[in-house]
Amino acid sequence: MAGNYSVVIVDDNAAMRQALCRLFKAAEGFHICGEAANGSEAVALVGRLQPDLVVLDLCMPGRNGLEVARDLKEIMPAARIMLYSMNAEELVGQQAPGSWRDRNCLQIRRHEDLHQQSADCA
Amino acid sequence: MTNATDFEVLVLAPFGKDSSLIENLLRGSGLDVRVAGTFHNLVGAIPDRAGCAIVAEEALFPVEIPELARKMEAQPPWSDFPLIVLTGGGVSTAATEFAVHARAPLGNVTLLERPLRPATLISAVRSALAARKRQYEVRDHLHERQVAEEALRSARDALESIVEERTAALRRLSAELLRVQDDERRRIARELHDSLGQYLAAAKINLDTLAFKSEDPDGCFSEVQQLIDRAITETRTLSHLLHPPLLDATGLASAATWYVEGFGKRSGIQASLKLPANLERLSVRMETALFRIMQEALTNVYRHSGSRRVDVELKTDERRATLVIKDFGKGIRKEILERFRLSGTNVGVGLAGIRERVKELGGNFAIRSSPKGTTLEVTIPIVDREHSRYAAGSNSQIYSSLAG
Repeated sequence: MAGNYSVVIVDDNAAMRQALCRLFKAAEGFHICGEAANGSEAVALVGRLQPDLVVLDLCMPGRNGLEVARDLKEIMPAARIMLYSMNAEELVGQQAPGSWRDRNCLQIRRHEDLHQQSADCA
Repeated sequence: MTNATDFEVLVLAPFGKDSSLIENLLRGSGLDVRVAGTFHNLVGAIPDRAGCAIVAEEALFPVEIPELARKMEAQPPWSDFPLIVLTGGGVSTAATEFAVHARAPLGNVTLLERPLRPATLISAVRSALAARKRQYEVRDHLHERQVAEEALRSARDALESIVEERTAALRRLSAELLRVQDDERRRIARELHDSLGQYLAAAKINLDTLAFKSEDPDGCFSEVQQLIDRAITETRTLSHLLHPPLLDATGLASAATWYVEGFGKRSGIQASLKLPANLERLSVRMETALFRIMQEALTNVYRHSGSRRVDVELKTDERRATLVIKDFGKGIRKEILERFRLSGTNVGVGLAGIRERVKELGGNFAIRSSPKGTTLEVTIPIVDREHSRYAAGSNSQIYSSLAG
């Protein structure tokens, strides 16, 4: 089963990117196919690689995770996107399209919960 | 002119030898004498250099007395020019009584009967000159006092304007300090969140990955995981208390809800919050000020009131926002409150900070306190309402749907 799902990690913090890469490598069923440090890198990378899952930091300089997620849905309608943040409170007031939530294709998680989430996905 | 020897003695005795006798006598005593030929000369020479005047009764015609009386009347308050009138001797008659009455308006009049004894005249003249000298001394003293009073008044005016300037400068400074403090808190909060928080989160994920793959026989992994969890929670709480991200993102309503809830949990004080049903976004300055005021006020309730309960209410209308914080504690002591009302001091930084924030936004600030509790009411005019599509209600909805 290993390597079934391809993952792109998007975070402006290198230590976070590295930690997430290790996390998904350690969990069975994923392989990391790319990393991006900001929104435009992410859009380019995702368009080229067409991953199964994009793990996206909500709080990035420039365009934030939700804005990037909207663009990603345009180029990759079937992809699952997992948004995460240190503060779930930051998400309050961020307008995510209702249909995304209905189809359970956008998950918003705290950092600490990511490990559990990756295990659940697998 | 304050020296008695500088004074002249005016003499009006136009009939007989009185004039020359008096002149010789006085000059012989070292006094300055000026003989006035006519009544008009005499009136014209008063006071000038004259220290007193010697007038023979017969030279004072009743029709002329009012002219001299007017001259005396016109003297400044400190002046009472001495007049020595030489009368005829003998018993008093209807005519002499009439003359005395007629001279009454002349003020400081001494009567000397003729024939004169030289010693009597000289002592009367010296006494009149000494009195005149004292009058000038009084004048000088009054003048000095007036000058001193004017100097004092202008010094006081200058002092007042300096105090006003300084007060205005201090007010600007304290407003600036509050702004700097807000910016600094915002910056540190952001730094804690973006830098320290990110590194802790990355460490936690690495640790979780490591723990996932490894045995943990002595519980060391789980201990470190717990420690990092606590560090993350503390960092987040610290960052949010310094500057709640909700305040910028969604506004005062959600930030206040979050804060009051957390305050209740941290302090063990039963804290309630009442907000307008559909609170629109206010200006950033106003939202920050109201949030900080609420924060300061609740901190005061926790530190000083001893209250088990606090009610927070925010009311708004088209023109103003009113924040009321009511506790049921022991109240602020009367003398402390009075001192704060008078001088704004001795009540700690909390209330002074609240007052400065309110003043800077042109609002009002009232404290009512009794042994049954304290109510703080702050009213701030709404000048630059920022309409926003984010209303408090829909935000909570999004939050709950995300959390669910």
